[in-house]
Amino acid sequence: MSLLSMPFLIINFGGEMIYVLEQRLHAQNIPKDKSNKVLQDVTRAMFSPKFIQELMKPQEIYSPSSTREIFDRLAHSSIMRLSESSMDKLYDLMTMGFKYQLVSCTHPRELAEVTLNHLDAIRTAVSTSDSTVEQVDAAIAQFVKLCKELSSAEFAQIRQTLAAFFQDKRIKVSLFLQDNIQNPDGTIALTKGGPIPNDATLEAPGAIRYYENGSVTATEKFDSPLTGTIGEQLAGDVYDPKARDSKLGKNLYTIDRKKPDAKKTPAAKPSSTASSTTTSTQKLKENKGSAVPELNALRELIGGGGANDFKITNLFGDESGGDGAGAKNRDIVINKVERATLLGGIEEEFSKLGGDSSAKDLGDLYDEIAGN
Amino acid sequence: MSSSGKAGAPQPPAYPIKLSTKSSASMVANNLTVSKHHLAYSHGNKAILIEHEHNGLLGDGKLRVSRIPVKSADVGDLITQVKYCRFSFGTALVMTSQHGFVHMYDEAGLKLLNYFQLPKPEDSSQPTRRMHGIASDGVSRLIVGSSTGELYVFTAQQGQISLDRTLSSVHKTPVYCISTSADFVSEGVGGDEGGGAAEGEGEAKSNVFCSVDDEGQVAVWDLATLECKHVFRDKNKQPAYTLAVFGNWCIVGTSTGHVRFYNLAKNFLQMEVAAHSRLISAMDIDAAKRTLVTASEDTWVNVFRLPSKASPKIESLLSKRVPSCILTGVALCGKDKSLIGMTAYDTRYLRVMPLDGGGLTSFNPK
Repeated sequence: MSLLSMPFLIINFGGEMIYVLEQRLHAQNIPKDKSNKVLQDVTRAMFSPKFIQELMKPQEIYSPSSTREIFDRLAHSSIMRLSESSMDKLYDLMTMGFKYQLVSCTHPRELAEVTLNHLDAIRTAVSTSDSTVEQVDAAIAQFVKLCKELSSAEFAQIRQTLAAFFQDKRIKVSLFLQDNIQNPDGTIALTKGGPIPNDATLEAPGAIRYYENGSVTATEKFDSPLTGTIGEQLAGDVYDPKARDSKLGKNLYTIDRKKPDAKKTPAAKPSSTASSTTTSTQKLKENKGSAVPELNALRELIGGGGANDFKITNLFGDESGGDGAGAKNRDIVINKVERATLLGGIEEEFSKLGGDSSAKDLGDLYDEIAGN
Repeated sequence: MSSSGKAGAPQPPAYPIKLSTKSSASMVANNLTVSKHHLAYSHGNKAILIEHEHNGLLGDGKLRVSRIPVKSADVGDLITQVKYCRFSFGTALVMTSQHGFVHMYDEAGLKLLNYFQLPKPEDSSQPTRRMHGIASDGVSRLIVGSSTGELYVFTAQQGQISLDRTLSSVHKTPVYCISTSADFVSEGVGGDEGGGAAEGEGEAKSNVFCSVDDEGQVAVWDLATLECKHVFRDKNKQPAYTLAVFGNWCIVGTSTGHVRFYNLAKNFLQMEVAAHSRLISAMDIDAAKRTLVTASEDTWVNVFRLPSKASPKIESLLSKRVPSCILTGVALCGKDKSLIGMTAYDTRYLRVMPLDGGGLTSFNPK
């Protein structure tokens, strides 16, 4: 197992959390000032220098229950209070979102692109606060430095470690089923073909080469069905957001097109086997008492929310059809929103705030809790 | 009944067929092994054993699945590889783990015969050494690789294993796969056609084993003296996760989707096939039919005819896609090794199809 998986796990999970919170806060008609504050607070907690420093240390990957604890604390490091059911669903969406991206990578190094796409999106989401952006930029710099030191084999090990973390996680998400990202059984759908990743050692299948004295003496071709499905080789730059090849890690919950006709969109049906849809969160709770106590250093670095908390009983209320025990046994229903709607809200709020006083107050609060 | 009113012949299923095991395969390379009565693969911290009767894999016989947890003192230990190994005392199921364990069970997985654990590093900040890569010489030698690049050579007699030697002179990065010349020996095939030698390429190598690491470096060792005879280096240092010694060749499946044939008699790269678009996770060989099967994370299975004196070129026989399956294991199984068994990450099925991809002339439905 790789000792460098934690940054990839936490940052990508964090990115997915920001995406879902953005979409859900908008869908729940939470006032813009509060929505923006939530995103700022969560981001500041996740990208605090101490947290990032601890995250970047070589360490065994956390257990699913410990990872969940981190995100429980992160979600509640803001003024928002989520019900347990909402937090369960939020975490499940984060899980399936990142699992899809992990499994869909065509090259181990693409994990770096996925993570950087998340980081760039987080940066955009908190762009109204210079201090928060500064924290995110510092984390990006550290992450880029880490990636540049990793070999292909080390990326492959990281991917394998993360794959073990996500094994058997199969919560069905209506949007993923609709977009054919997920198969009906909850596994991730893989597309065939596509471009060759940006790696000079890779080529499309079909060639057979014969060597003598280190030189090619003959080349033949065999008919590979893959041949017609393989595109041109990519030539982007992992570290340049404008030239990055991978689209994985971008927001799955926004669209730049019209919503599909409701008649054509298959409705996500509640799973007939309830246990399969709540495998991840229910099992985490069942195993909490029996797991070996782990020094969850990351969790301890996250401060709590401030005064004037607002509670969200059901973050997924309007689309999931209710809260409570019954909702736990349903697939997760979530729709996309227009990207412009979300971005427009941020700019509007910035102009209303006229400054960054709320971030400063929260920063002081965090420092106080962290004991600085 | 067809619309014409005549009874139609039963239709063969769409291959590959899925046999439910209720336990998903882990994303580790070489994640399917076969013995006379069983197939096995790793699922987290358990080995999944599938007992198959004759033709059971085609769905018209019994399929029994059992689960064997790794007996590790460490919580969170995961199995890195399971492999059936032949010894003079019989066939044993050998398992390696993340936390440095080697377990040896009987073929049915009912009895733990013996186990070994690497000592933990004295410096607690250092990671535990992962064991990965398993091979036997068919008699009494068991060889296991590790994440430090060291190879551990055990003597295995009557189910007991004892550490004989540690080989640390070659690999400095994690070893992923080991194969010996005993792995793919065909019974009853002899003479010039035996063991992979093609025209003019020297006598087939015996009594060697090969190991590969995550820089793509392939070491060739003498099984008797345990000396390293040669090292093939990959100029691009790309990892490789599967290899097979077959007669004159060390056949390596790389992370770039290439199958490389290193000639062991004359120590050179003889052939290279661009077989897949992603890493090759597993291979298997039928020595009698001279067929090579490769499975990859690109969801495809390829079958090749290996060169021989009569036919010196490699020939592609089949390319079959297994939709939405990151393949992690492949094994030729069933009667006369006429079936391809496959495992895929995160799927709870053993997938099976005939070696020709499904062109059965007869089918006996359940």
